[in-house]
Amino acid sequence: MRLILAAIFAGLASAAVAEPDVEQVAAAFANEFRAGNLFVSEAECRARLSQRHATFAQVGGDKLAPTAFVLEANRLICEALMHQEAIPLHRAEAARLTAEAQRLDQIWRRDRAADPVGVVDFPGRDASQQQLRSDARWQLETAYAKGFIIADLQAEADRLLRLAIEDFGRFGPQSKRTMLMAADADGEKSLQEGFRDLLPRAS
Amino acid sequence: MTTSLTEVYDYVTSVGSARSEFYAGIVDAACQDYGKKQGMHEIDKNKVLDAIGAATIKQLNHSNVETLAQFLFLMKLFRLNNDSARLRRYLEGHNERLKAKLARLETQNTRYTASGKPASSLRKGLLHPEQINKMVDEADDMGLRYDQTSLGCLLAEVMSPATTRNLLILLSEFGFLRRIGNNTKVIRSLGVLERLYGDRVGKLMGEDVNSGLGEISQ
Repeated sequence: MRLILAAIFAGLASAAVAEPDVEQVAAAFANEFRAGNLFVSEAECRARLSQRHATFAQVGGDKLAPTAFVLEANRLICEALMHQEAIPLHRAEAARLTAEAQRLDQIWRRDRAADPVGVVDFPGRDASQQQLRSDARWQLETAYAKGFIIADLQAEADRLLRLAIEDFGRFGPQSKRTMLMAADADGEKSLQEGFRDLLPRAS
Repeated sequence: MTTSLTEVYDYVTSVGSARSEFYAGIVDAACQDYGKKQGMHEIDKNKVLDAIGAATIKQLNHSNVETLAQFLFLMKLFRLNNDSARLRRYLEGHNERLKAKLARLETQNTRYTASGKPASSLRKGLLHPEQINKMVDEADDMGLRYDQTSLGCLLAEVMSPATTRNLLILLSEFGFLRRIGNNTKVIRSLGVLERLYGDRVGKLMGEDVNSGLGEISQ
């Protein structure tokens, strides 16, 4: 075993340190990327996604982890926009259903006032109105729930974008320069020395 | 008896070629893993290298890869992967070594090691007792697995935790390591790095180190 250790100790010095702090860069990139896409329509977002996909594919980058993260984040933002655009539609539909229920109620009240004997109240008389109001509630609840879905999608997109830039960070010139400059032969020697205590004691 | 010029030259070239073969083995193993994941029946190395990209190949050739392989090889050589008592001794020794280094820096009233590492980085390399207990318990139970933070501490003298993390991501992408878990990342070596490093040591010694790794006299 001593021979093996000796061979290792005789090996070449090397190793490195450090990494630039990519946290801030990652956060800024994620915010910018997300904000830039939040002010466009879903259709425009999907157009950007397919353009981005084609650009990455051209240079063979669409399968690399960082670029794949960006594409997936872009897709999630498009999904979020799809839900975002649906919210006013749900609210409008809820308003339409509620208005329709009110219209039916008004018709019944008018007819009842005109002919209190002929137009009678009975269980299930306002079944349609109740159904309309129930549908309206569903529409509003769906719109409300979509708010959470959007927040989740955006948060996941944000996480992926941060991951992407952190991965890009390790290819960055600053990162490479720091790693190459910081050869720490002393540290490596010390790391090797840590095992020396485990060698059998010479009798 | 004096050492001849040829002997010295042969030694220098054997060191160089052992190192070169080590890195060639790393890139080759990465290509095999990449090809397998892409569903290739036969690996076209040029095609795979193009796909992996020059930047990543350079990363795989970085000295940090060698440092980690050496560390994992030594862990295996000293049977620390499944001998919890020895592992505890090693881990406690790691802390003692760092503390001694820090104490020396304090005595010398300097904040940096000779190679420019700040004392604060060394301090971050100290393992908490819970980390030691966890590693020892796991070694007892199912063989040593490293969590990313603990491995970062053990390598703190050589590289920063961020570099360790990037290195582990890189190596797990190419099938050298398994890196699993959501919050705490658990790292398990799949043995390729140790084997390649063992080959390198064996070449320098003129012996097959890997096959006898379990039987080396203690």
